[in-house]
Amino acid sequence: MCKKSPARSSYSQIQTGMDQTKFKEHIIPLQSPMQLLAERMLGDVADAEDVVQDVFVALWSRRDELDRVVKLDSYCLQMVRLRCIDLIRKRKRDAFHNEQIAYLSDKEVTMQVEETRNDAALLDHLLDELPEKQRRALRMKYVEERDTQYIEQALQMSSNNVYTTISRAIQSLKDKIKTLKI
Amino acid sequence: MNNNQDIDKLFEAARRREADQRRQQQLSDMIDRLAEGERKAESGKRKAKGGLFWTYAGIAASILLLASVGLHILSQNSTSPSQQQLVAGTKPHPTTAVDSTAGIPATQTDVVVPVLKPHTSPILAQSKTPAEVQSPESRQDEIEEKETAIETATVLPDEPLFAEETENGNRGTENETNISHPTSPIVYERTSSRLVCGSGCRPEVRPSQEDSPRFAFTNISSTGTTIGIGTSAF
Repeated sequence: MCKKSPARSSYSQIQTGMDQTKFKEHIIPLQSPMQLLAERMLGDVADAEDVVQDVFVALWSRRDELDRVVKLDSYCLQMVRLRCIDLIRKRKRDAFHNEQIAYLSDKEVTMQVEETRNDAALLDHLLDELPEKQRRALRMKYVEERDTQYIEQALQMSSNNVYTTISRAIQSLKDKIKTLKI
Repeated sequence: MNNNQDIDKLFEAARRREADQRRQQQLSDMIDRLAEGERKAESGKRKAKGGLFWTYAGIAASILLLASVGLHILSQNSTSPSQQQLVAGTKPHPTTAVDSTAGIPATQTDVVVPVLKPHTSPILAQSKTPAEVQSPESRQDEIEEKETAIETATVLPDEPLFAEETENGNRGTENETNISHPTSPIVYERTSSRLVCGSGCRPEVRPSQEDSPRFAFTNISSTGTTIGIGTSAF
């Protein structure tokens, strides 16, 4: 969605392009919605990561033109969308149907990303209220997805103690969530 | 949505956030590598351009050097004998480089460039000035002077002008007529290569030597008879 307005064009003549710092500052944070959109369209995390990486390489190669883009997030999401469609067409060339592609609008993607961020922030808030061992055990178990042996070595606890600590932490979270709903 | 689902959703969001942060860090590193690669490529291009420039400059300098050396060698091989007498340190003046007739040495003016050495006789060049060199007019005057001396020469014969008397009192051969001939000095006039005496004798003139004009002559009477043979010095 490269919309050019006269004022923007005159402004872009002054700009010398997006350098490395500005690129990291403005484009890299857009990875989350791009990844979310690609996962939803492709149904595979690894393929979605590949698509997003290709889009980032393309964005870097045309970084001199990005200053003329009015809405960078929509522009990046459209690139991801088109690449996902190309990949789906390659996969299912013989049995291609438009219905199989889960089209998500930019607004839906943005809302889902925001919801994810809010949930992650809420979890951080709830975990902060737990004891340190419970917080660390929960984070390693469900966020970092470590196995029980790793948690035992990290917390210097037996397997039974790790299991007991995690059970108590989950119960505390449920209580807190129930309190929030009320 | 029960509490378990809520907790799973929260953990899912946390996992996604962690994954996004990790993935963003990887993308940031990828951008750094891309930028570094582009910088290296640009610097390589600049170095290649610079190296190419100096390569071309070196080739051009070598060609110019070879050309100058070749021209120098050609100029040395193709010079005339007079040009081969080049003397280093001077260069010929465009108008007064060499005066071959007068033998004036070339003016030694500027330095470095070889110049023509005057192609004249060393004796002439050193001992005579243009005024001292004998001009054709002076040579003609000298010749006329010599001719006048010849014409006015008084021949005093060292030997008898007449043949010795024979037994019968005749002089010369028997067929010759004994004629009287003045004993006074005979004045000869020169006509072309002959001397003619005042009495009509026409002595043959044979220059014996160029430097000492002593002539051998034969007195011939008016009748064509040889009446005497002698030499004379002017």
